[in-house]
Amino acid sequence: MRSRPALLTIWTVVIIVVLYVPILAMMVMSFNDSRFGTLPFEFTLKWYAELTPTNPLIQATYTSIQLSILVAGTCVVVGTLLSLWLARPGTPWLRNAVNSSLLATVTIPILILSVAILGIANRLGLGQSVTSLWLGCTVVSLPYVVFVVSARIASLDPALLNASRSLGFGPFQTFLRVTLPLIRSAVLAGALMAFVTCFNNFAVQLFLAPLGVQTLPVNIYAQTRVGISPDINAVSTLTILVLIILVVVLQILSGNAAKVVSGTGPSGTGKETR
Amino acid sequence: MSRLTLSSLSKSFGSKTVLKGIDLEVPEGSFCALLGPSGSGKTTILNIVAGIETADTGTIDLGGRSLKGLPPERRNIGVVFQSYALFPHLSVADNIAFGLKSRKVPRADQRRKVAEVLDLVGLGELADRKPAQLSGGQQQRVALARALVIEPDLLLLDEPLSALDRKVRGDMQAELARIHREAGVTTVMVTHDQEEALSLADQVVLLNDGEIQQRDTPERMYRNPASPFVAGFMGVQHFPGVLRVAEAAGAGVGAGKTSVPAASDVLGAGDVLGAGDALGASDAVTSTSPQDHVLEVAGLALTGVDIHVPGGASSATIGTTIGTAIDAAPRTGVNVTAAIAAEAVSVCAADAAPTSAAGRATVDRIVFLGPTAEVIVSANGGPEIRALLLSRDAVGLHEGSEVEVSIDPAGVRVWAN
Amino acid sequence: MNPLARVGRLILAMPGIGLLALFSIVPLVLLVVDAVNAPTGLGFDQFARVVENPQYLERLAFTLGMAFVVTVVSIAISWPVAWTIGRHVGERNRPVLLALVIIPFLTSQLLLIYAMMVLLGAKGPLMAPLESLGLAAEGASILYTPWATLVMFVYESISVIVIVLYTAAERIDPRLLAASRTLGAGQVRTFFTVIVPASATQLIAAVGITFVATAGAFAESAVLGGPEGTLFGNIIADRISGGGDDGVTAALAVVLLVASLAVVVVLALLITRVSRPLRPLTDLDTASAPDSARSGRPGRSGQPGRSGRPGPASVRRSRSIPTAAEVLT
Repeated sequence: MRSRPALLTIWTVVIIVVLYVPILAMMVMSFNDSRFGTLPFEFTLKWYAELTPTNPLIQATYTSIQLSILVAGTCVVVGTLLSLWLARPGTPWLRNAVNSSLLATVTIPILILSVAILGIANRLGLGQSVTSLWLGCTVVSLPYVVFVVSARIASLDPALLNASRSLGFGPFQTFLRVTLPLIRSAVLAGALMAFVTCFNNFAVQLFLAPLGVQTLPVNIYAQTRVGISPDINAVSTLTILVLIILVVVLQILSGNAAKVVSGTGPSGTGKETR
Repeated sequence: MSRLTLSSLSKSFGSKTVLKGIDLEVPEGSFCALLGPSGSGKTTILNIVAGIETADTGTIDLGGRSLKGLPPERRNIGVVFQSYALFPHLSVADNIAFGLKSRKVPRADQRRKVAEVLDLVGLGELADRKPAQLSGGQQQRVALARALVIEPDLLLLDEPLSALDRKVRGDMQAELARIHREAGVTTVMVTHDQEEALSLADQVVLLNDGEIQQRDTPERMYRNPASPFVAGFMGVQHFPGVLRVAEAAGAGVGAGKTSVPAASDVLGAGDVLGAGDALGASDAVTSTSPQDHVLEVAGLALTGVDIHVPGGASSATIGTTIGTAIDAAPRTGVNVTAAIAAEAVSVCAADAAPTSAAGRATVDRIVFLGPTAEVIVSANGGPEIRALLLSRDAVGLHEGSEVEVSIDPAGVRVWAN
Repeated sequence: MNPLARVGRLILAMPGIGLLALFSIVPLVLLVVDAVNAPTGLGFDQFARVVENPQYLERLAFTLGMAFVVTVVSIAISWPVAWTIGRHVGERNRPVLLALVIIPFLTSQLLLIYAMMVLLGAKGPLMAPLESLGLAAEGASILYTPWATLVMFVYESISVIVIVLYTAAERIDPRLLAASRTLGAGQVRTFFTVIVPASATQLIAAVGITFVATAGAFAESAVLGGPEGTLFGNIIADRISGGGDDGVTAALAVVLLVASLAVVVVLALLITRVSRPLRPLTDLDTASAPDSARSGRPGRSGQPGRSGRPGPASVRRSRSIPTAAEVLT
């Protein structure tokens, strides 16, 4: 009886370690002198020194950050408003349609969705443009914001809003004084989710970015196909470190990032008030 | 503080009608309880008054101003929600000050008023806590304070005690009564608990299926339920029975029944009429000459029983309703429903039978409740009857005992079916 | 509530609704329209061109096979982890472990692919030590072969599967396991009669997510897989990059989508079937969860009154796919 959990524990530890092996290997190699990513290991910082503002990788990183901030901002505003509407009864068919669209958007393989979005962008005359890129990335990240925020709204006691109204505040003031403070951490978590998913969203960027606009994933993808330069290691190391910090913040904000991702939603309202 | 008047309020959700023309008047400063089973429409009335829902038809008048079309924030009504709905992100003091902020009360006044109302509910030292750090009873008091501090024209309480455990509920009930007395605000409470309603309210309104069944003082509603439904909701047992003309006083009624004594032996007629006098006009009780009739119910035979006629017939018209029916069939009688208050039933060992006994019965169960005891008996294979005795009167009774049952006719109400 | 407020709220939600409609639903519908709307007129010409091309068919089979292997291997690796986190880890450590599992998942997919490329490279951090130990041939590596793609897919899938199956492991009533053991069932039997049925919903979700994501992937194989490892997704992606946003591309996308959904439906039915024996018990246990497996099981005594089982495929599909999505998100 006792041996089974022990075996399971070892397996679990091994797998979790394995999850970090590629990341750690890349981080180590970012300090390795070899141009071709081969051992033996010789320590150097020269790849980091190459990360000057004119380095195309750095420019691509800037582009990615700008795009992700734009998309996260759009997602938060649009997604929170959508969540507020979804939380209230009324027009059932439209609610069902919206919910199904959100699920379809995250279920359909991103490649197929990207092909479809490119199709509509071409029809609308947008083609491969910054606008297409912005809207395409937004629609792909939007569901995560809506799931996180509407889970929180659903966990709010509707009597709180009625209480605020009966105490003399109108709908708008009630939103500012009651709803917003109570969903704030979920909105922040949603913003981070949107930032991270947009930053990572490679397929949409590959197909929708106009000529001359290259995000970090697209730049790396292009490089891997023509031969790599080791400064990618350095950029990737820094980027992954920042992403990990963001995920840890997300974890703290939402109580449990795993639950956000698995759809069980962030923890309820009660614990929020510490 | 104002008088609340609802007239012909009705409301449907889809095809379901939840309120069917409610008329209600709550006098200034009084405490009214809306009592009823779930789905009776009581919460809908509260929500409509609060402005959370809108009525399909009807008017609401509070202190001379019509509330029609006013959003909740412009009604000046304090509401204590069932879940208390305290803002979890605000401290106790900020929760209470919330309504003062919306009224743009100067900061210094806010602080003073919050302190005052915290004293009123006895929570002065908890001002800086967050709601999650309070017990259920404390949260309830904060909710009450928050509703009272805005000096509302009307206070609405939605199942205020239902979330509390039994012991706290008793304390809170007394507390609520005190606070209502001190604040003096017109109050409407929604509850499904008749004990809560009876102990707190000046006026109890019993609802069922979106209609008012009876509106009365707690005591009169218990003593003179207007219908079997009201009796049942008030916890009064009721049975089908037959009312017929008594044969000569002292003669047996029906084969196998014990003899029925003359009514004059059982009670003075004045007792019955006394109860009738106390009633509001709309719930008139008429008493036909009780000694003429015998009520057969649950295997027992009683005389001297009052007759309630729904709709309030006078003693003169009784002749045209139950009276004529009985006259038409003096032997077979008419089918009725009889409510019998448990405390009007007394039992004693068969050998010590008083003259007033209504029949002989067997003890099925005895439930000891402390100072009182509930003795459940059945007579002649009839349904079980509960008798509420002082514990000391139940000494010597046990399961299977043969007992004589006597019933005080003042505790019996009869309705024609 | 006030109808005015309701309309106001709807108006504020319109940007979101419009965005979803215009950039998710309409495009997907148009994709299907494009697929059947060939220059030669409405019809299945373009599908015919896909189906008649042996290279396409071969790659489709290869892709679905790859997705199947990845699904099975990933679940086999992840389930014990999920089980351990769900049942043998204390309340305090659980969020930490879950965070450790989820962090790689939230890290840029392309950066991870790149990291895998660095790891697997010939004479790289993995192969060089193996070589020096004599466990690998000089200059050998699985990089630029389908095996590298497979490793990457499994690596990517572990996080999500652990998260999904963990919720199932956590929910299983320990009394069920104890009961199974006291009734003399061995560990294998307990697994199939208690654990699988009680986890059926999450298992179907995990299968759906992994399979669909893998079947629709292209970046992994493009970077790691070499010429042998071309997947169906690469064909589509390459056509797009080559400016071929046309009906045939649309047809290819529709074929890929339908084929992978079909496999998922079959797998879901299979899981439902395997997990049938103990249903009455687990029904009680998981009554609160919208359990896809709860439908259409004829009563034990075969009550005739029960309007038979629902049409299998259509009903199951509409259930299993949203379930998968629900758990993913």
